[in-house]
Amino acid sequence: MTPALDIKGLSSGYGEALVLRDLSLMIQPGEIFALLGKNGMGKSTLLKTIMGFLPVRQGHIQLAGNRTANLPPYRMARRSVAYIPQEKALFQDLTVLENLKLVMPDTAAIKAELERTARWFPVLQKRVHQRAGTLSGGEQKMLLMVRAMLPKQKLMLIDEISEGLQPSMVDAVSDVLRTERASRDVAILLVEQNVPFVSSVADRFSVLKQGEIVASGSMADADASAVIDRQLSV
Amino acid sequence: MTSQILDILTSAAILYVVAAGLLIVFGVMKIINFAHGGFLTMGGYCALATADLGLSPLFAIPISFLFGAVVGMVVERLIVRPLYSRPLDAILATWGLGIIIGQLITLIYDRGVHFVQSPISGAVDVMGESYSQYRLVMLVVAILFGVVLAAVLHGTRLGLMTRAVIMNEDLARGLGIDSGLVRFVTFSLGAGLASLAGTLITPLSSVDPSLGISWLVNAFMLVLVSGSSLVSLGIAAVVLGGAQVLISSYANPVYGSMAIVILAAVLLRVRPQGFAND
Ligand SMILES: Nc1ncnc2c1ncn2[C@@H]1O[C@H](COP(=O)(O)OP(=O)(O)O)[C@@H](O)[C@H]1O
Ligand SMILES: [Mg+2]
Repeated sequence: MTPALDIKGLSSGYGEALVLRDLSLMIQPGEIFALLGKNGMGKSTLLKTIMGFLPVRQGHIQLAGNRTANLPPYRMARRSVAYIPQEKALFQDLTVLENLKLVMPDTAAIKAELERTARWFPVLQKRVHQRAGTLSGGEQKMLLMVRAMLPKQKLMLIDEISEGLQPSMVDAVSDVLRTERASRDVAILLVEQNVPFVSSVADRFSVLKQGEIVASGSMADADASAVIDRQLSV
Repeated sequence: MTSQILDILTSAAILYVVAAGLLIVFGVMKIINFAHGGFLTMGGYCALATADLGLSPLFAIPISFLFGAVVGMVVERLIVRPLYSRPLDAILATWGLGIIIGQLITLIYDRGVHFVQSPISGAVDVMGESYSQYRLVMLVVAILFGVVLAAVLHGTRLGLMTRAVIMNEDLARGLGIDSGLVRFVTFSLGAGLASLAGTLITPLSSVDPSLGISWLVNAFMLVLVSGSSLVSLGIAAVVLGGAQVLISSYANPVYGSMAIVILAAVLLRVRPQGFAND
């Protein structure tokens, strides 16, 4: 099977400073992959590099078998990648509907998606004409999830969605992701620090430390959580 | 009294028309396009050229808009785009371009002052006072500018994408929006609007190679106090344009002509966001 995302020997960073060094990872279609690591380890930098916000210094990135080096972010999005950045991920001054229309012009399709996801995120339907900035923190995350799922992309890059989220919402997100994966062959790269959340959804994991992967494994391994906890605590 | 209120409103209208193109370019590209003055001048000469060809002055409206938009497209591609990642250099480049446009115009025409016949002249009666018909038309034109731009920004997909780029360009790009295209369209539209504005002000001012420069300074100050909001621009035009009119008539016209620059500078000092609401 052609991997949804295949990264080999990737180095990247800001200007002269390298943050990621010789990083490789592969995600199959239909797989949820968790990338863990403490603050400042380079997790967000990896997602920004995949999206084309930062240049690839060395190595390569393949999307469904095609090289993507130096494609601008909008081309990556059109090549079927949904990206939820860690910060400033919504247009606060646009309405919920306008935020969604940016990725999907068809209002009927938006309404249908809000209907489909209402069992997890019921409040959004009532808030379509409200400015995104007036939503609560949790509601904003719901909007981010819907926006990412709306265009049915093949790869989703999600940067610390569980951060600051109350436990019931974390459960909803986990359920949504599992349902999404079961319903189509989407590959999901979850950047996280929340180990219980990751344990509930991911198939495999890697731990990133100072730009390098220091541990990897299957979530089904008996000692997965222990390995992650140990790596995150030191 | 009536004529003073009309002076304030029509002066504001003219300022709004002159600054609108500069504002949208600033909103999307985060640069002040100093070639805006050159584009205004170009529009003045479009009116002159149309008149020289013996065409009705009304033809100058589409001609100047299209000419400005096409020049804007070329300038965006060749001069502004390569400097996207160096906004300060881009601003300097537009400044230089403004000078070049002035020089080219001097080469083709000369330094001389020209006058263009107004398509609408004479005065009409407004509440017992006679008032320049053309200035009243400018009021309608300004409202049309505002309505059309608002309709495009809020009623079309391109407008939604443009607002997204204004608010957060990186986020927009990450969602699949070709912000380079949005910049291209905005710059061309801004240049077209500037050139159109240059044509529209010719009945009120003579046509010479420095036509745009005098307007550029006031337009620049208005944009600085309005951020990227067309509504704020309207408010700024009424308040600062109004101050200009009042100071000119009660103090003297020399102070009046400096009013916008000085008041805008003072306003920015006490309220850095100016008339914008955040
Ligand atoms: N815009 C930036 N410019 C320069 N350095 C940055 C920038 N953003 C992040 N960094 C640095 O890159 C490293 C990795 O950051 P980041 O990828 O955001 O970490 P994480 O997402 O794992 O918390 C950190 O040392 C951080 O200081
Ligand atoms: Mg991060």
